[in-house]
Amino acid sequence: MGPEASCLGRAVTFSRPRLIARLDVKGAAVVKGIQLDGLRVVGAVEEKAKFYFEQGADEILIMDAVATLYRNQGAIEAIRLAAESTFVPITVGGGIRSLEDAKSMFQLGVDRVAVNSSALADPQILRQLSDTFGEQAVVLSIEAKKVSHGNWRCFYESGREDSGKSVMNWIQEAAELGVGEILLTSVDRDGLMKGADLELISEVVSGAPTGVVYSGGLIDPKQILELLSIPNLCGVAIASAFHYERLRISDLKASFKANWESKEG
Amino acid sequence: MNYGRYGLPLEVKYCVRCVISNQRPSSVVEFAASTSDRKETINFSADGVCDACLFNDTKEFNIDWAAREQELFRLAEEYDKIPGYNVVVPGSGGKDSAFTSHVLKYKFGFRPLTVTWSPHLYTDIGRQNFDSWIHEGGFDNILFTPNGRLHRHLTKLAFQNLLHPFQPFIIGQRLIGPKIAAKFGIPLIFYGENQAEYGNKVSENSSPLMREEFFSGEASNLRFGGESIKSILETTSFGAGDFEPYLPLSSEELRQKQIEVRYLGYYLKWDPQECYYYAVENTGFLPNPSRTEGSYSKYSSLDDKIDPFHYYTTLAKFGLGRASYDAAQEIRNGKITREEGVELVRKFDLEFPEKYFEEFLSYIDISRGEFSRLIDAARPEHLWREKNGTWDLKHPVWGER
Repeated sequence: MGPEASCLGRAVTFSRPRLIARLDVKGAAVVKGIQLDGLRVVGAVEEKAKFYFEQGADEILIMDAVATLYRNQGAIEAIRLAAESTFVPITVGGGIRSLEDAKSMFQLGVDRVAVNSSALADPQILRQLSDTFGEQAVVLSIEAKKVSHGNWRCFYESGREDSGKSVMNWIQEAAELGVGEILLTSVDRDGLMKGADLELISEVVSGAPTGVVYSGGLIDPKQILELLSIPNLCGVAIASAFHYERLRISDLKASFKANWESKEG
Repeated sequence: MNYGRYGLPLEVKYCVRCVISNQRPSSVVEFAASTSDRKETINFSADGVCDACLFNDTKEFNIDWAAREQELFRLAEEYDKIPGYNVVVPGSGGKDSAFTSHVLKYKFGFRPLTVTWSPHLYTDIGRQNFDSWIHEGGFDNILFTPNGRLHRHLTKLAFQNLLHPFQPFIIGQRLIGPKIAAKFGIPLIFYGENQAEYGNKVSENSSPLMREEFFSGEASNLRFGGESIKSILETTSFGAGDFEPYLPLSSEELRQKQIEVRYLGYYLKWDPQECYYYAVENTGFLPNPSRTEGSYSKYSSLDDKIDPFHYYTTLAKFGLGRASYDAAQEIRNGKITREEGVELVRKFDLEFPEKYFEEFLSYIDISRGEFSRLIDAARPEHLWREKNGTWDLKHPVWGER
């Protein structure tokens, strides 16, 4: 099995890399920060999810920005409504600490769960989740922050806390526990709309045993297209550029379509 | 009501809307402060709402912000006649001063000279933001760094005598604007938000001008770190000339030069989080690499390694740490709910600022033991209880019925 085949769902559901709309949420509100801090309300979860679905998003990524901080699941009702009103895969992250938490998400119609803080605290949660629900349902969420040249560390609680773990080491460790995909968020680039952390991407993608979805700073259609042509990069997740209407999913998809069609002949 | 240590009300009450308690003191004229001062504290209305929240109602509903903005355009026009720099903007290049200076220059057409009273010990991110402010934001700046030997000594006195290590910094920071203005013949000084937004007398908010006593006074009455200049001169090798940066302008000089101090928060609706966004976009500002100890946020008050100890002392003296101040502000500005605020305070307010502890001790040259002794001795009995060496708040906000 080549690296591309391990991209979660790709072989089955998607023939192309995914364009994912990312909703950072707090209760029923979609929020957005810069470097994950200073959360500004930019809309309502259900309405935004529906809007991006209608625009042609391949997936909706819902990240509860405060679930770990407050140890609650305040966004449950909003997630349920989002799942009901959209017909693309939904991934939910934030505050998933147990099999029960994950199960309650799947019962809402969510397709996969993304785990960060709790996996850093106890990596075995990944094995439990993948044994129970299958690897394809488990996404390892990584909040990567550069600490020195060529060195990124895993942060948690929405980029507030430094786990001290190196991103590359953590990916190797976690892969053995069963992870279908990696969601890689660049804390340094988040919300700035000044482009992706290309160094980080190349570092992670070359060493990752599973597919990677990248998130953080995306704004330039050309750069996004280039990223999506990297083998093993299964998709990109975009928030600010969509929320602030700097990019439209439908426009992006139209321009990508031509590109992919020419490649696929 | 009965009053205890520092003149704080013995009965602890929390604002029903935010997480500030009635123990929060108002800003004082720092160079008059002595060890025996009884503090004036934040006012609560009959139905339990603090002045800061009440002012927020005014800000939200009773102010015609469009008219205020026009007032500022007119002010800019008036000052445009002055040749050269026509306003001094004191600040650090943090989100607030970045916003203030940038908006005044690039939206309202002022010609600011920015001036910075150096932090005690710059953090890396603080210095980086300061540089970006000037290089990316585009400003002329004077960075003033006081005699470190004296500044450290005064900070030590302020910690030992008042448990208020930031006092000399606050004095310097308040004075540097007016002093530079006087020196350069610039008749106007602009600050960002009025401290009254956080609970000084609401009446202070009805004027765009800063109370003069905050930056002027007669030199003979001055006290630093709770000690008079006279006594410091007698017991140390410092000379009277060393105190130059800490000496306020005389009221006479202020009047003669017609220097006015104004707050941008009077003219524009102030929202710290929006200042953050504005600063990121316009002056290259970036938040802290990780959460600030004692609180949850990454974007406020992050340029000085000593800063966490300021909040740690307010926690000891008034039972209000950094998370309390941050959360109260965010509740008022509609960023978080009171329930979230209470949870944040419970989680972070009592956290000890370990990261720069050694540097702080070495800066003020005291031992760990003395630090703890002074902190514990400053905890009012009506706020704290000790059990097996651990201090707990008697009336935390999360313990309310």
